[in-house]
Amino acid sequence: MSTATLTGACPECETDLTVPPIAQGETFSCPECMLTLRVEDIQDGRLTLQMVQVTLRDWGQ
Amino acid sequence: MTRNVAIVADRISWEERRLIEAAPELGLHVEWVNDESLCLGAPGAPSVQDFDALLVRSRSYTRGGLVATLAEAAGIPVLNSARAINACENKAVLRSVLSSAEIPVPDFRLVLSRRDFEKALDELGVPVVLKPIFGGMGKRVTLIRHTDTAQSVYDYVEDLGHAFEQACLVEPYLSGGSSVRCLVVGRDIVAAAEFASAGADWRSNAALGNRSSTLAYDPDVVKIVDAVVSELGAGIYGVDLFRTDDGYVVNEVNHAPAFRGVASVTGADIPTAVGSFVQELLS
Repeated sequence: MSTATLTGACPECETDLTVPPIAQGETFSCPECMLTLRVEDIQDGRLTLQMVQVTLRDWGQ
Repeated sequence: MTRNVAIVADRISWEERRLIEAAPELGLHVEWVNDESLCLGAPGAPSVQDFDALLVRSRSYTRGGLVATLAEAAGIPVLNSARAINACENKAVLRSVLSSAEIPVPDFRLVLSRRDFEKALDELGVPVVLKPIFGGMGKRVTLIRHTDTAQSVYDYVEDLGHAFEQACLVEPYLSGGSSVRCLVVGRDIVAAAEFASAGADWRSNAALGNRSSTLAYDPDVVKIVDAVVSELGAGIYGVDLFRTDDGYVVNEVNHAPAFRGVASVTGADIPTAVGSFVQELLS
């Protein structure tokens, strides 16, 4: 199993981020601005991230 | 031949990641598809037509049923079925469906107004539980122990922004806050555990992380869960039961159940069970 880290930038505060292996669709908190970020895409170890709500208003399952 | 399966959800959490990881050994390729970007409705459902099946894991109580309904109409196999998801998303509808099949559910009253609320209190007496028709994870589920505080609790319901959110059930407070959570895959219970209130929160919802204890398989549990599955169809469900003096009653059924808690308590390999079930359906 690869342990290579992935990199990206927070789309909100623009902080450069280095994170452990993570899959498309997973979320994590930006350590700088604390917003929840979702991995939209991974290309050559580079993450494309989007800010999402911590939970959606209509979550119910 | 490897089958392509989409997990439809707004994000990947612990459960979905485990399902993706378990898939290759079962001859499946499972990938995440964002439930907010499918734009379904076009003939043939082009955004999902390359998948052999959709595993709807939307936590949203609006998206899951809509996505399943339109994908199914386009001929894409969907788990759970649109009928099952639409029933599970609405606590009143689900109880009606189960009652019609003579499956025991808690006594309840539909509350759409303060007048309904007052009548429900009169008929059921305290303690009662007030819970939203649409919702889950224990959110806004309120235990009302005293009639003198009930009216002020309902003030908060009236102040919610939309009638959709104001629709509630009132039911007797059963089982002292504990419940039995059964994880069903296909037609079988693959794990069952009892969740009891712990600490400062009376709610026992598994999603709240309360302490759990393993539940020995009980013939009465198996019987009522079998009846639920017979009504909703084979699928992947979290069936929540209350134990009463008259036997078990079905509190609710989750169509996209979290299973981290019940898996850690029982040691059950739920991702493999789900993958095997999907493979069986597609073969």
